[in-house]
Amino acid sequence: MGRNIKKSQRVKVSESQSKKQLQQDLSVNIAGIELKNPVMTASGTFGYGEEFAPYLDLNRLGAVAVKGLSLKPRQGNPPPRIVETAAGMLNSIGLQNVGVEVFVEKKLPFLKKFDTKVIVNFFGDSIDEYCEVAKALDAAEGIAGLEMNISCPNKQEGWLEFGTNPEMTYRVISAVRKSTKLPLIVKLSPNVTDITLIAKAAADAGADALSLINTLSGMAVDANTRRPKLGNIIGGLSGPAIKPVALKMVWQVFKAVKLPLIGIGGIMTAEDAIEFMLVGASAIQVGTANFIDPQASIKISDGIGDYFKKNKIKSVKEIVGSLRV
Amino acid sequence: MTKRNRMKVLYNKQILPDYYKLGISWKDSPDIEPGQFVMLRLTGRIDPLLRRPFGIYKILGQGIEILYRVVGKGTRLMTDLKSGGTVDVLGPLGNNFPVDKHYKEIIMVAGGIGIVPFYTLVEKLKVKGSRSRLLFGGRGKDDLPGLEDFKKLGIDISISTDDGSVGKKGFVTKLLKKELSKNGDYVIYACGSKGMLKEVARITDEADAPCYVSLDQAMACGIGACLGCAIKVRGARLEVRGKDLKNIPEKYETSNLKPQTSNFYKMVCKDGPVFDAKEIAWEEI
Repeated sequence: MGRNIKKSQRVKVSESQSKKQLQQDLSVNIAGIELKNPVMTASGTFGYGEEFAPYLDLNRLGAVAVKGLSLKPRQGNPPPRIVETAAGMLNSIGLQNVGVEVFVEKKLPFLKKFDTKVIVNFFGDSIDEYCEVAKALDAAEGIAGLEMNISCPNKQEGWLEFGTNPEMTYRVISAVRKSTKLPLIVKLSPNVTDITLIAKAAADAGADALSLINTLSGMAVDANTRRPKLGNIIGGLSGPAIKPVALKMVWQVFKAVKLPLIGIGGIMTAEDAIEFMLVGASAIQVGTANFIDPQASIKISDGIGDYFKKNKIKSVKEIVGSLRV
Repeated sequence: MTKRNRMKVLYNKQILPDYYKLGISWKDSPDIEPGQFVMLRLTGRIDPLLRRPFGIYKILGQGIEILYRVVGKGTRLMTDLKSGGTVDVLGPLGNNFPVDKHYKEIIMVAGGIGIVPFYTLVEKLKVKGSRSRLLFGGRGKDDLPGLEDFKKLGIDISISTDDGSVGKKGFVTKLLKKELSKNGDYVIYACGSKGMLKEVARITDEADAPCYVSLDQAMACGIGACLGCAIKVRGARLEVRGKDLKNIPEKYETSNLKPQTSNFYKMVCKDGPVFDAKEIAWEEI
């Protein structure tokens, strides 16, 4: 497991850091995964990494969270799948993906060539599917950790989303926990009445870290055609519009559970990232911003370094949850 | 090689009430093929948030020209761009019209802003010695952008408008039908609304004529990552005029073990924007 090789990884990481970054220590350990900096790319916004390789140096990322995988390939939803809304975007991609087998055979080898951590996002329609995907990924080489998307309906039991019910959250995570030895990050849905209840259930079930938030459920309507703007009618909202909601939820969860948190939600700049760290995130994920500027993630990483330098902050640990209230 | 850069605006001029031409400086400009596009963003703005795709209209000595129609917030803001200002450009992206095979005659069907990919195409084909004919349709006389440029290229042009203000009254597909009633060695390239393209695909299929269409779909990234610009294509490996279409990228195959037989999604940004008209599952569009 990750913990045994931590030392050697740290040496490797500091050697590969550029001179500019050496002045600040941006490294952070999340659930036994040693990240060279706290910036990860969010699942679904960065493909399998290869799509972005022509535009930025993947070696400079703390981690890449790949497009969510299911046991079998998925086609996704009918178009239109994307619509811009005020300060954000709605998507209804429908979890289109190549499936775990093709990922391990054809996508993972490319990512393994880079000095960054590979976090594999995954999901299922049933507890069994979650466990099977986790097992298949556990057997593969080169994966630093898993990120479990629990914002999916449980098709075997009433189509309720796993992550909207504490009991189902607990059951699916404890089952997956037994299926893999890899560090397990659970990605929380914001579409709940009290996110701390779900966060506590995830912690009790054996999650090593939590990432939040997933997209906010939403829809867009065309008044002229009187039709929904998305082929799937409803979709998930992301981008700057959701940042205040995400900050609040990270803060709530930070106070409720002891697990390390990964902040996600409309992060466009280093300042946004710092805000998430102040409310309790040990690392952050850049999502929608990747579409607007393919280099957003490394610019944010550089900007965090500049902020640390300016404010004489020596490590990520020092700032996490240090909100002055 | 695809590039992303902040680029200088050379000029931005209105050519028709709703249409503008934007010249962008692009030093050491890359090879651009007819049909390719760029993702544009107004420098420093996050509203509009996402980049938008724009076809490349002309290749200048050290730059490109974008022909755009004012349709919403972003394009309205674009009209304020001034020489010396900047825009953020990502590109060139996507595939292009196939020009390897030689046809005696090239028939281009354009609807309004759908004229965009054809200027560079005509320039390219001129070098290859093909005869080009443009069938250009619009809602009215103010919906035929770039017409003067094509007249200067010296190709045959037929015009139709919905209101009959210029050319034949009616849809441009009517002109195409007439063209295809003659036998000949031709290929059809089309760009316009989905309704127009669907009809072009139907007509060319009936005439058993080769046809390529350039599609537009809402997209966030333009580089194949967001999977937003999905378009349904026919699953069975296609026999198109004896040529097996084996170009289904493995990443969009829903199985790596057997050939696709059911319809599936391709991405307009990376697999397109140009597709063989026979490949698109029009009944699902």
